[in-house]
Amino acid sequence: MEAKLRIARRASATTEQKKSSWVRQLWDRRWCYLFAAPSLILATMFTFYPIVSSWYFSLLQWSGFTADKTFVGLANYAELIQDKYFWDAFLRSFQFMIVAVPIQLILALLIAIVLNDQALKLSPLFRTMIFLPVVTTAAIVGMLMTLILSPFNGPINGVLRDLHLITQPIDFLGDPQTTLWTVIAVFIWKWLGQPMIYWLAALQTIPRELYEAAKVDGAGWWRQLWNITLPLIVPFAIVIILVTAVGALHVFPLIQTLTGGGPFFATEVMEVYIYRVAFGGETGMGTPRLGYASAAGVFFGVAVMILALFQAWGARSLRDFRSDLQSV
Amino acid sequence: MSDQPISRREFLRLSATLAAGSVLAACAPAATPVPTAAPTKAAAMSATAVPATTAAAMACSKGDICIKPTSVKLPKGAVTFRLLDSGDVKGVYWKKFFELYQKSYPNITCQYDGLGWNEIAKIVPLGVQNGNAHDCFSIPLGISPAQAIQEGWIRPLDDLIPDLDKVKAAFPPMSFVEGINMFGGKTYTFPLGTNQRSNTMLLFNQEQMQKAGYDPIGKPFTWDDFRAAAKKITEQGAGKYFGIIDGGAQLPRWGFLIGDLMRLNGGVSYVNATGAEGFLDLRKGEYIFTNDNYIGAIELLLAMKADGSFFPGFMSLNALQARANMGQGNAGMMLQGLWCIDTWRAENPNFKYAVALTPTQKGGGTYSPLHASAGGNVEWWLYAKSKVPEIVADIFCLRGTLEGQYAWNKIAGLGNPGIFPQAIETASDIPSDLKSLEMQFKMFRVGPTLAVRNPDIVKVDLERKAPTPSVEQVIQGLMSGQITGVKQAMQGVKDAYDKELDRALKAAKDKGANVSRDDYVFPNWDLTKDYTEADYKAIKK
Amino acid sequence: MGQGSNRRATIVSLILIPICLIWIYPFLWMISASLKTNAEFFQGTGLIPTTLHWDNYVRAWQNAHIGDYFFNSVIVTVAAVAIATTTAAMIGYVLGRYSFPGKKLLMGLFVATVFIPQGYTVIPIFEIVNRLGLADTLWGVILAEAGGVNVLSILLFAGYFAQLPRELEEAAQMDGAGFLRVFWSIMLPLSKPVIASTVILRFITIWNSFLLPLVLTLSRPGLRTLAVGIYAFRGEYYVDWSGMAAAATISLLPVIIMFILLQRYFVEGISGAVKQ
Repeated sequence: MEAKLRIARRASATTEQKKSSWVRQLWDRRWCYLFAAPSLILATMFTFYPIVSSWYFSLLQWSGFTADKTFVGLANYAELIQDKYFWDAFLRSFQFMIVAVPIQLILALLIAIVLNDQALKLSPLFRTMIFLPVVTTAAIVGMLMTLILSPFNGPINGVLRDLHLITQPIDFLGDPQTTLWTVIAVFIWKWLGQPMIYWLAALQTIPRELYEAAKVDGAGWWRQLWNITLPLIVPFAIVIILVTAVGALHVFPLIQTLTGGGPFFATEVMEVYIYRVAFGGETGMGTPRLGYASAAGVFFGVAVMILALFQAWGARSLRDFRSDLQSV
Repeated sequence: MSDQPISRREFLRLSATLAAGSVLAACAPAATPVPTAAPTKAAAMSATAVPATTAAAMACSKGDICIKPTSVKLPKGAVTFRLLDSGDVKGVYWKKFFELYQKSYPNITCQYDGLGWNEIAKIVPLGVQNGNAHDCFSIPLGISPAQAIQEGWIRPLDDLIPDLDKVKAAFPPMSFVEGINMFGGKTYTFPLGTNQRSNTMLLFNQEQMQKAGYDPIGKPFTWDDFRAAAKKITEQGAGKYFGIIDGGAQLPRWGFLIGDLMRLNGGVSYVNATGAEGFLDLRKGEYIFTNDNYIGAIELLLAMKADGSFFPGFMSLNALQARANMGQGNAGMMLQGLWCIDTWRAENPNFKYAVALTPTQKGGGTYSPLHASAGGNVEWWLYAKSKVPEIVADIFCLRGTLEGQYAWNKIAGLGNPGIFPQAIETASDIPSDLKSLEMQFKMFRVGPTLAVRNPDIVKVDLERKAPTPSVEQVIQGLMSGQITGVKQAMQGVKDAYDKELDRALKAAKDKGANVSRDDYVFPNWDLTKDYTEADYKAIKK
Repeated sequence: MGQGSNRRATIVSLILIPICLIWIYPFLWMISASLKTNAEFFQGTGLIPTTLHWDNYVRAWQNAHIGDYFFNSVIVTVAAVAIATTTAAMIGYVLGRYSFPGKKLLMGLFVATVFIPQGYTVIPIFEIVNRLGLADTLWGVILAEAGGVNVLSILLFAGYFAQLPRELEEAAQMDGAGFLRVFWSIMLPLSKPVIASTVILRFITIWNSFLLPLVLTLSRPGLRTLAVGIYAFRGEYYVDWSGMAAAATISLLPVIIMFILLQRYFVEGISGAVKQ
């Protein structure tokens, strides 16, 4: 991605030198626009338009299903910032992210490092096995996990008991003390394959010769990891962290099938909250309020975006600072 | 119906007498001679024989789905008919029904969809918006029929069925009522099923119960018996099975459980305008949440949880999973509906279940009856823009006869009994199951229905939102230990519900509805009796 | 590679095999459940069914109309993946290799979509498909599925194309190749790994997508996809778990095969794109 930026910078420098007119510039670049057009049109229809619609919806008092829409201005937002359950869900989403993402990243990196060993002939098999949960629909994962985590005859409790780690079975999904952690654990299990692939990709960019040279110098596994592997994959880390972090916010299907946000809101993260408010939640419980849900969606989206920009800015200034140091 | 609680046998006889004459005439083509009716089952059977003149003549014995011409004029060309509801055993019936229907009318193609309520909530509104909703559908749970009419989703049946009054006369009294299935004097749907279904019958594992030394059928449980039995069963199960199970993750279950445990104690009763769950004591117009019996019921379950009698992990199960575990012999008792039996008979043929009365505080089989709204169970509605409304009308007519009800009950009657009490005998071939159904029927009375007294009440329902947290959520929170202090919590719930009802009343009034909190008070209601038209008249000023 | 590393690989493999088997235990469980009765399903967690109930697969085939729905799924997925991949490659190409006014804005727009919570925008999507007159056609589903922005794919393509040497197209341009030719016959073939990555990523999502195909084929059940069909096993009071497991197993197979076939490119694609 850095490369792309650099090329962009270089290219814009040359165009500026030409100082050609805007029209001419646009005409010169007609292929660029033509190539960008299909994506843009599709995205406009199926992504941007729905998003803009939701901005508009957020100003309405509207169930989403009936004809009576009332324009209420920012009333939904005013109600939102006083809604305890909104803030609970909001914070829970970040709690989820802060716990899940580092574990996921580090675990995935460790596995990737192990699997990157060329001598490991079975590596593709292991890769596939680790990746398997990623390709499975959340509905099925939810169904399987409820049974596997069950405190009654569930294999996990069985193993824990056999190891004498517990005397009483743990009600992983039903006990409010454990349920959020359990959901996070299932999430990590389900999605670990994704960052693993990204890390593997990053690792494959490191030239083999570096390791060979290090070996000649007598560097051990740890030294190689510390001095070669980690420094060289740091540039990838920013993208991988971002993608993984964003993934940790989109957890709706999994939580819906595992706990439905319960017990008593204990696992209600933002997307579950929005869904509950938008469609009235579980059968007949509550009234659908698409307007209010849209306000929550917009608010949360903006908040996450600001945080991401902050993170990107932080990362960039850190990098600039480093390169300044190096150049001195 | 009579003033005294009547036995089922009596009830059957009465209703059969009432119904037989008109049932047979119902929806029959004018030309068909109506046999003289006699209030015996034999007559009803012989009467079902199709006159030789009808095209789709087939030999139908009691309980068979029988497609014959009705007074409704069906379309002649090739058409497609689509029906959507929430599936399960209903789907089993429809699939069979449509197969025969298509055979009788080769120009009609039928398509059935059984989906969860969450999907229905999205699909129906979107389909209506797009002009291609199912011809016949279930209205999403958060939306009232009045709202659906206001939105132009559904239309009445009046102009489709020439002899509508005659057809309706076949139904039990108080089946067709304004605000439930009739609006503005028009009939929008037939109440084809009864809404007198308990959500909380005591279903138990015979072997485990016997071993524990209890007999809830011979000696109906008190709350204390219930708790002690659960504890005993858990002890004897020694980790292999537990005293009681339910689907604690399925929020509505908590409302049913606590509500019924309370209501059967002669506490209070409630039925709201649309027949959905409401929580008002309609004798006083007050919310029941801080009622001693209500709090007592919550405390009973909390105590049983503290005893360790609940199946481990029940808080993360839904009702389906609870049922499956019960069938596996993993728990001794469950308070759920009779519909569980269908599943067990199909999936766990070795499981010996039995059904007893829901535990009550006094025990001994004395209880205050449960109440359902007038107007039966209304599940299927006619899409306003359906191109084949006649087919919906035809199907309603076919199912709204005694033989139609026999056929329905034969497939779905255990879990979803039809509305004709006299047709219940086909619901099961096992005497004990029929007995359970009888017990269930006996538990119910028709309660006062808000909209019957004041149709404007539906406008309040349009304004009402469920408070967050809802009472079900709070009970779940109490059971999971996230909330402590039952009384305080329930006071909070009561305040929230009161506030919301008053707000909705005001909003409806502002929009011109003639409503007040007094509309929720029926001082002359005797809990042990059906609330009849005379009672409505008596309180009219 | 010395003997030492081989021995190490063997030891690592011996450690990893049991770990991975535990990792995929839920799947083994699902497959075994698809061969059990519904009663056995809840009984215990033993993987080996007492008798093999292939009738679950028969039921899955009939109830979920897997025969019909499978082809719908294939058509929708193949077409939507093709469209999504092609359009992502095109925009990725110009974003990665060219500079043009509005480029930053475009990038910003696409990246911003990542932060939008999902799941409640189905109503406007439905509205658009209707206005296009594509309601109840497979095309409606295909376009809606292809239209979900996959920022990662676009970034992968952009990154990959950016790091390809300039000389490639300079040489081609000298031979008189135009923009289109350069893209089509030089650049695109080189980006095979990224194509593979995008195909896998999109395939997984679209193959498993539930709500959109359900809503968009409302009145034409014949057009439903497999993920929707699996739902036929669910009732309010009763779920045919074994049938569902069988249907789920059938529907998982193509995705797994896809991954096994393409995984080498998958890793290469991502590493190629972020290289540099």
